[in-house]
Amino acid sequence: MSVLEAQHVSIRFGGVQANRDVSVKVHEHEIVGVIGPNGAGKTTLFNMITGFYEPDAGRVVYRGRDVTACGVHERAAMGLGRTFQNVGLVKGATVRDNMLTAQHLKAGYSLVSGMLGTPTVATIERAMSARCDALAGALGLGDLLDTQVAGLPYGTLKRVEIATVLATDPDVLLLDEPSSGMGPEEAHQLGDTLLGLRRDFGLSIAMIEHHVPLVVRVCDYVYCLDFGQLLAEGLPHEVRNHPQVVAAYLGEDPEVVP
Amino acid sequence: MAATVETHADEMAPDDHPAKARFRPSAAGLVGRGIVWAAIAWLVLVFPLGRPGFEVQRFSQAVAYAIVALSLNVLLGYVGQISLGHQAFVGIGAFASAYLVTVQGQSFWVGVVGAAAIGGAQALVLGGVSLRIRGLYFALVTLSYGLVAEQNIFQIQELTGGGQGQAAPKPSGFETDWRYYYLCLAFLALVLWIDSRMMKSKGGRALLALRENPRVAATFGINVRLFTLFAFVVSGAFAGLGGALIAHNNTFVSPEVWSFNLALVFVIMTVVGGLRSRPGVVLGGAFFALMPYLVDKLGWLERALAAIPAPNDLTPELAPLVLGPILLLLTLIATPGGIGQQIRPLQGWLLGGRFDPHAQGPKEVQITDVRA
Repeated sequence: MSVLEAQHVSIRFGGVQANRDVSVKVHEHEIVGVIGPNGAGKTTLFNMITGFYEPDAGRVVYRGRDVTACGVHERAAMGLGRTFQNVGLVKGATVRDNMLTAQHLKAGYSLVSGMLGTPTVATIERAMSARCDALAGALGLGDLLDTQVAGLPYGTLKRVEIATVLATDPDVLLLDEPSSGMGPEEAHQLGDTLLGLRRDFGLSIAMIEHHVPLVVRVCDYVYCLDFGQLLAEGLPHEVRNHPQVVAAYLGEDPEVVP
Repeated sequence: MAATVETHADEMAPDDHPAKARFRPSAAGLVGRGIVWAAIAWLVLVFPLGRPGFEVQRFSQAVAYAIVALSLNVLLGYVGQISLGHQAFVGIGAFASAYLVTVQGQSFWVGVVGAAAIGGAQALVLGGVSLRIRGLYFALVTLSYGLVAEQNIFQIQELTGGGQGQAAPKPSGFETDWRYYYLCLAFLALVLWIDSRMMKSKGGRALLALRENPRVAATFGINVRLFTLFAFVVSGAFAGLGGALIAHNNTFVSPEVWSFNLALVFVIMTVVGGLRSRPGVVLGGAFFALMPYLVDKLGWLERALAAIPAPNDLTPELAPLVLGPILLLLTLIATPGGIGQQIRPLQGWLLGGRFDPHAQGPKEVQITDVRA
């Protein structure tokens, strides 16, 4: 059974049909890539899956449950974690504060006891802080925990963002262009990180990605969107060599593809 | 070669983070800090003892204003929503407590707790219906609420004596102005404690996250609307408490005090104080409450105010409305972090750090913080 599924979703913004009858599936422990030219509707699809937009037609199903009507924070509570194209972090706070904020749902004390500062709160907060150390350490960000987010370079921010989403303890990770702002070397490391996440955290991952070598290397299955519609789907090398995909996205001549 | 580099790196390591962990003030530095702390404590705790009662009443008012400023800081600083009807929240707290004590014959403590509860409850109702909108539109809702309160709620015979005002006696054991002043300080300490605990626990972090980026906050599992409402209720409860303290300080509440002018002063004093800086906001509130008193004390300022051509005579009581906007402009242009930003080097020094004139808080204020 699939973990996460968008079934025939469509959405229209004014005169633009941003998504038309798009269906994607993420199976357990699978890494799924979503590729397509700019403006193809990839982020719109993610926004419908995570609950920022409600589709005009179609459903979003998470572990057999129709979540189309659920709010963003409810889906987050179920285990949907996502990152943003333009870095979804609280920039005015430190890395640690971001990761603590991300553990919002794991903080098992009431708001009132938080405001009164009971001993339980202190214990839980210490455990949460320790989890920040562990996660940041796992992603090689241990030195940056007490740095303010605003000053960090873009590629680092992308890794901090992944660490922060991990702190929400997700089940499925939706990554919006995780390798943007990274050089080829960093992007390769990111591939290792993603494979490691699947292995160590048992995650299923869907990611929007432009960096084709990364997609081919880590993804088990790939969808290609163009003008809001599914152009092709299949194994990475199939999609990569699909004539329509090549024409729409990678350029006319397959030889130039790295 | 690699080994040399590593050794070098090890030697460099302590210098890389000098001030944070390693800095210990010298003996003279500790004495200096002690003297400044003692001076602050003297000013707050001892100095009022030697002043006449009517002046101490001013100081109590300043403490209550500090609580009001902290209340607005929750809304304006932490969530970035502006309230232009805060005078109604404070006023209703004042009348609630006066009503509970004078008409219902309850004790002062019931009155104060009741005022905070009613302040929170009205925020819950108003926020429940209006917090689906944000920014300017929310500001307009609070503005209208303030006007409604002024024209209607404050005219209710039972509650306010129908425009005559309501008596609000000081609590037994705290009848003198001096004792009541210390009581106000205790309440301020309580509010500061609750506020600081809140910001160090999940509620406060959720507020800061949703102010900066509601979309990201939602993906962290934060219910954005619920937590905005939560902040509104906390702010309302603080405001109600502040109102009750003001009422019993004057031993009388009159309806015409709670006008829109006051709402403006509240907003200005919070922004000038410095959003998200507890010491700054407290100083801002106290400063604006004491402004008429200071104008009275400083003859040159009073003469300068008198020289401003105005249809009515500019009494010292109106000083906050004249000087406030000027200070607000200066704050927005020069130091968006207000007093809180200006005292930050001193604050760091007092807490045992270096005196760093360029010290900036981790949550620096920007003009765009309040989108209204």
